[in-house]
Amino acid sequence: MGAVEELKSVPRAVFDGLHELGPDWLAQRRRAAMATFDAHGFPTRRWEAWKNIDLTPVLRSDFRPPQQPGEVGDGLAALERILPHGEAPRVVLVDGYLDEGRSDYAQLPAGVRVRPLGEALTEAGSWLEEHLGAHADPENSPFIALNTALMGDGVVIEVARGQLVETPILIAHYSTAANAGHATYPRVIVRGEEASAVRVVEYHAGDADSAYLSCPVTELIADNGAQVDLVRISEEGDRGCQIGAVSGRAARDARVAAHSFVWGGDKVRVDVEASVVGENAEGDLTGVHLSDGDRFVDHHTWVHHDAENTRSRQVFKGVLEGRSETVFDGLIKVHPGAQKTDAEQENRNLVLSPRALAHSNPRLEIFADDVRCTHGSTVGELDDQAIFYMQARGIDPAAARGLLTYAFVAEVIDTVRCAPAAAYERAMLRRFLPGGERLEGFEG
Amino acid sequence: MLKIENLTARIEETEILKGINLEMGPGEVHAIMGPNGSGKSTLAKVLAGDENYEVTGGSVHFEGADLFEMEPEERARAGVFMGFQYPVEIPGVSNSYFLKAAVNAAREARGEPEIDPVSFLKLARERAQWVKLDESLLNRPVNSGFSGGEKKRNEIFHMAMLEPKLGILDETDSGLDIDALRAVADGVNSMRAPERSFLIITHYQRLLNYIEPDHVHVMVNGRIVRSGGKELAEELERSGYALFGGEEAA
Repeated sequence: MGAVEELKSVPRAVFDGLHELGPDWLAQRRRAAMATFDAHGFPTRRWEAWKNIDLTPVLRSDFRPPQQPGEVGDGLAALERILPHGEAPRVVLVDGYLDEGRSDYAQLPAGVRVRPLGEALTEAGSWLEEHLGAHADPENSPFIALNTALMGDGVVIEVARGQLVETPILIAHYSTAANAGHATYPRVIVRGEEASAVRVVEYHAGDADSAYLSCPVTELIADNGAQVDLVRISEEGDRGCQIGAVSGRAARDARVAAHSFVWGGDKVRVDVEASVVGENAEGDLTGVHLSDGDRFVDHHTWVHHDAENTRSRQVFKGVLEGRSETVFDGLIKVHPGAQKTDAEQENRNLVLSPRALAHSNPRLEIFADDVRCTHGSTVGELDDQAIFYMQARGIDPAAARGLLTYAFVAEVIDTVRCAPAAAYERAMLRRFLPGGERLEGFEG
Repeated sequence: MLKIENLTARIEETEILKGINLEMGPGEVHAIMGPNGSGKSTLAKVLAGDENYEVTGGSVHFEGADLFEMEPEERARAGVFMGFQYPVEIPGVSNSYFLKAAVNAAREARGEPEIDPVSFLKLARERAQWVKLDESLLNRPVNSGFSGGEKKRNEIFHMAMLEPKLGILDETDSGLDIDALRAVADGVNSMRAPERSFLIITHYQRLLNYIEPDHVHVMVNGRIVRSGGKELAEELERSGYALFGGEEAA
């Protein structure tokens, strides 16, 4: 505890050394976030929301970005498979720095603007003042506090009223070997104006041999009748840690959706929050975590219903191998007055190894009486009956296990509203499963 | 085709099969009838390779090969099919993908190439008609949300696709309405062939009105107590199993 107490002075020193805090409103928000961090410090295992994660490798960071970005090499080859060059605008951040050479967002579909955060912040009277840092709450997580206080380069996406943007926008965050021992705080904010629709794909990856820390935060704002969809794929390097957060808000008749797929990294935690604050608004949170070896993966969710006739759905599935450990901790909170809320939450975990450990913690807080809230949580093994049934039809048991596991996860991937990203996730899933290559074409 | 000699088996500590002897030739249809708890379903599961049952003695040879030396999937690929009493639901795996995997596993075992998708689909549509299985069920997850009758039709449809040498039907008729019963029977009858045998396990005689057996065996308390022709089934229908020491009347 004492050591953790002392550690909190490290980010403070980084903050005090910052030269550029941005416009006054942002500087104020940064200072407030830093004060929030100072007040609480790093989480310990006594914090309910952090009791399962061993932050030791995270806390080894010096909590500052490297002086300059390192070499990516072929580390972002996956982007060509997710959304090939030329098919979608892309913004690439390397070690927290915007990489103009790898980015390509000059040509944009009508009605959408994609800008580096630094550039957007120079615009006076920007909507950013209302929204940036207003949704991802530093009180929710010390790492949101750090990102808010220390955010460097980032991406601002805005979609004009009534514009339906068919082409997804790709954002990549990559940590190179230069980020070993360091930390980055990339920030993304997406705003869909009234009745617009946009899809954003975030890809998070890093050097396989470097112990880095990535603390990305994304805010999603769906104005009245807008649809904002985020698909987030995390494929961090084996020694890398990511403590990330997504915070979305849906106004009247709007829909905000976040999907998080994780395989890789040493410790990866993604906090996903959705506030459905306008009547008839919808929040849709889905996720998949695959874990093997000694990995730790954590999805924490918070869904706030704060208006009448709102809907939300949460579906998270995990598959565990090796000695890995996963957490799903999900909240549905129905605030006073949010009558006719319709909320679902489902978390299913398949534990394929006797040494792996899955925690599942559904939480409901309901302060309205006319609501429908359902939740289901399971931690189990593959169904022996199903395996025998498949064997009895001539399918060998290893293939049967692979097929059952694949189908278990694919049910979530099938709901991803961006076909190429979903295809990439399926390919990752096939790599994860022994003999998975035989499952190519499963969908067909 | 199939030769069962002095087979004994148990589940946990309970001896269920107490010495079964049965010989089936190619093209023959045998029915095993018996009251609940007589062990008839256990026999089916032991033949399919369900590892919840422990074989404690005796032997089973299928086309001369020791069945107990084969894994369940090897038995299936060699041409032994079991239609389950309670078909298992497999969420997320479409019926057609599942069947294609099963068909290709058998083809691979025979050294044949994978079936091409067009031929597979054509065959599947044709065979689904044999049991009047709604074509939409091909694209639904295996047995998920199927009605009881649909599940049983689906079992026979699987059998029709896999073209086994020996079809074992474990209480396929239980819970079926008359239309489904007839559809199932039509499926089996379409498949009858000089080289293909069936072992039909049932409590009641009704399925045997539609699928005419060559031999009927009465199983009580883990043993076959009487064998005869199809007239034995009719006799059972009239007199019940009490005559043979069974605990209940039909």
